[in-house]
Order: sequence, then structure tokens, then C-alpha cells
Amino acid sequence: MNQTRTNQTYAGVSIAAAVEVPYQRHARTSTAELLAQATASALAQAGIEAREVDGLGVASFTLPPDHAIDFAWRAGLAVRWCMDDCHGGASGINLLQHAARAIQAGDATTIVLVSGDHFEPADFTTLVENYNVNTRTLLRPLRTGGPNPLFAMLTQRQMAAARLERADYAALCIAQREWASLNPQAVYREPLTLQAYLDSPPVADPLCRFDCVPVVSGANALVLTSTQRRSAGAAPVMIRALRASYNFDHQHGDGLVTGIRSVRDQLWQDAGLSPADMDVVSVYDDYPAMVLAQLEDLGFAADGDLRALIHDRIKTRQLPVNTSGGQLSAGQAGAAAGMHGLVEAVTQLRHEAGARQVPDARFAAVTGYGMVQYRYGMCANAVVLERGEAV
Amino acid sequence: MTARALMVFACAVCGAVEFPRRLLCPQCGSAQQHEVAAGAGMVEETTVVRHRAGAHGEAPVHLATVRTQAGPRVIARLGSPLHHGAQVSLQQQADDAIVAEALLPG
Repeated sequence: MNQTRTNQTYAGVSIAAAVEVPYQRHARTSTAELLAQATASALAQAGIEAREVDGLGVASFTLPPDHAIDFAWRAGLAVRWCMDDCHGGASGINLLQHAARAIQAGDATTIVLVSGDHFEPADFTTLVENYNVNTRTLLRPLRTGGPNPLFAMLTQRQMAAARLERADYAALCIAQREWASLNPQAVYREPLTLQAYLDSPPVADPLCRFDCVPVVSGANALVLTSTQRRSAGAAPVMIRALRASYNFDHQHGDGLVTGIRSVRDQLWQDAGLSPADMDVVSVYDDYPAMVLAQLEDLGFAADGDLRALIHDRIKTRQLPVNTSGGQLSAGQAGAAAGMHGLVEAVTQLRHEAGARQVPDARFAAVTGYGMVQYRYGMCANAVVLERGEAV
Repeated sequence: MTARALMVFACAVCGAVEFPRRLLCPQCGSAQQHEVAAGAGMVEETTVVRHRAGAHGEAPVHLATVRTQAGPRVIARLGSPLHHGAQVSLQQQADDAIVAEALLPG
């Protein structure tokens, strides 16, 4: 892999707003309307007028036939930087990377990044069966019903490699549900017990209902500004480091290691920080096994002991992971899932997380993961965020 | 349904074997490749799909990750429930579904 130059600073860029349009199981609306709601809400939080916006990035599976530029027109935005993103669970951080560079380069000064989807069950099935050519050609005729059986077999590989049992994954899901109980916007907030987890209907062995994200509709948005233009009163959030890795193993591996492993050292070197410095972590949680894989890739289990990571650190909240409840409790609103963890991390760093606020949170790590090609995801990325000073 | 032995794809320049088919070889970039028989393999993991979003009352489907004798791993439907280590034949049906059948009884 090419060695890119290190210490690539993201100075001069502020995240001035981060919002979530509440996720719903059954929403009588449209994808474009959800994206518009998120855009308006983010601009209101930033204290920025729509006419000041000069950049737009959009990630959505169900917006077509419209694209970012159509949404820009429908939302009354005139821009000089515009981007469609198709990286699924990695879209939020991918958009953030490109938008921050656009601001640094002077191509735009005030960028709205928005992602979301409106789903009915039939929409979801159509999406997962036609995710890409190989899925449509090779997996749809097997009646896989989406990626659940692929991650079921990946989870079996992880259980064998790390000597984990279903009760260990249950503990991870229960810990996230406990965070969700403190998040009024989470779709599932009622406590989850080990017995309820073990008794729940199997989806694809060993995965049960609680290991699979509930499909919801919703949207998220961020506002990025050049630091000089920032007008919001709240503390801005800055990017300390951001790295992406797509197709790092060409799908030749077992999926237990993500691309994050290949950029981890650069990420922490860029940030001048280490995993131990993180106050909050948002890990892309399409499945519990992927939470563990990415945390290990980031260096949160240096000894490789995933069971201790779950029981001694995540369950005890010594390491606050997915404090919104994650997608496993808050729901997966399509492409919004790629921004959900970013929004939660920014909310924590702004100290606006209410009952689930991690005291004095200053640093956060956020990951993205997704775009299953044939056996597991192609895309992974990670960002280290820092609370800035309000001015 | 008519079926044929599963084929995977070998780079004509460097010999790297891939599945699914690539446009350009990830090792050397060549566009030239030829088909290689992968009509047998070994079951690595299995699962049973018992629920699909928006579907009710469908029969469970047995699936497996199979390491083909040619190298690449494939996702296949099992003709009958099998376990890790089972040796299977691999065929691709007319609808492109890859189906694995036990090579030896039991």
C-alpha cells in the first residue's frame, strides 16, 4: 500500500452542527423530506442561513432518481461544491473527509452534509437484493435476504478465533441498550436481558433478532464551516485525524480484520493521541461482531482479549461505546447509519447529550464500515474528533 | 434446473485465482483471464436463514461458506444440512445460484 504523507492536518475546519431527525419504524414521509428536515435542523443549530451554504454532500440509497444536485434545488440551495456519496456505512466519514478538504482548499466555506433514507419493508428487500452486481447475481438466487447470513458466518469465525460465546455478544447488545435507555431518540429503549436475548427468534445462526439492526426511516446532517466563518455559540468540533481504507484485502480474508487495521498507526500518529485518550467511541455497529473487529483494529484491545474488552470495559462504561445505543438500539436508517455515530460523538463533545453525557468529553473516535461486496464489507474509515473552544 | 460445474477465474498473466470474476486482476492489473474448474470444496461455516425482512412463513435456507479446491471461497446453498469440514461438490445453476452437495454420505 502506498505510504501517504503523515501529519495531514485538518486545521481550519469546524463541525458547527450535528443533528438527527428522529428515527421511526413507520414514517409517513419521503426520503427527500427527511433530508430536508435534517438540513433545516442542522442549519438552525449552527445559526447559519440557507443562503450562506455553498457546499452540499448527500448520501442516500432511496433518493434516486434524484441526486445531490436535485436535492440542492428542491431544498433551495445554490452551491459551488456538490457531491453524491455511495459508501453506505462509510459514507458519513467519507463525506466528512472530502468536505473538510474542500473547505481547506477554498472551494467552499459552509457545507451541509446530509444522509438518510425512508424505507418500507419492500424497499429494504429491493435494496439488499440488488446491492451490487455480485449480490444480485450470486446471492439473491440463494435467498440470503440481505447480508445477515454473511455476517452470521463471519460471527462464527470470530467466535472461534476469539473464543467468544453468544452470551458475550449479548453483553455488548445489552450495554448498548442501556445507553439507549438514556437516549429519548432511540427507537428501542426498554431494557434487554440476557434471557430475552438468548430466547429471541433466530435470524441466521448464531445471529438472533437483537444482533440485527432494526430497519427504520430517518436522516442525519452535519454543518462544516471554515473556522473563521463559524457563527454558532456552541463549542465547535474539530477533526484531529481521519483515514480511510477501501478494498485493503480485496475480499481475500475472513472479514475479521477491517481496513481500519491498515491505517490505524497513521490515524493515531496524525492525531498525536492514542486509544487511551478517547472519552467516547462510536463504532459502526451493523452487527456486534463488527463492533469488536473495529475496536480491535483501532487498538482498543491491544492484547487481543475481546471478552475482557466487552465485560471489563464496555459493559462497565469504562470505555463509552455507542452511547446513543447505536444502530442496534436506535435503528438503521439506511445511509444515515454512516452519520449516526458521528452525530452522537459531536453531540457528546458539545456536551449536549443529556442523561447519557460522558462527563467532560474532549476526544472521540468514530468509525464507518460497509458496502458488502460478496462476503463482507469493502469500506472502512475512522476519524478522531476534538472539542474546540467556543468563541 | 440445469447446472454446470462451478468455474472460477485465473489471471492469464500472473495466475492469481479469483471469485467472483474481476475486470482487472488485483495482483497484476491484467484483463486476461481464463476459467478454472472449482467443482469441489470444503465447508468452512454454515448457517440457516430463518427470517427475512418483510417475509413470513418461508422455508429455512441452509447456506455455507465453501473453500473451493481452486482457492477462492464461495457462498453456496446446501442441498442438505452439513457441518464444518464436509467435502462437497459445487455446481452453478442456470439462475447463477451456487449449490453444494455432500460428496460422501454422512
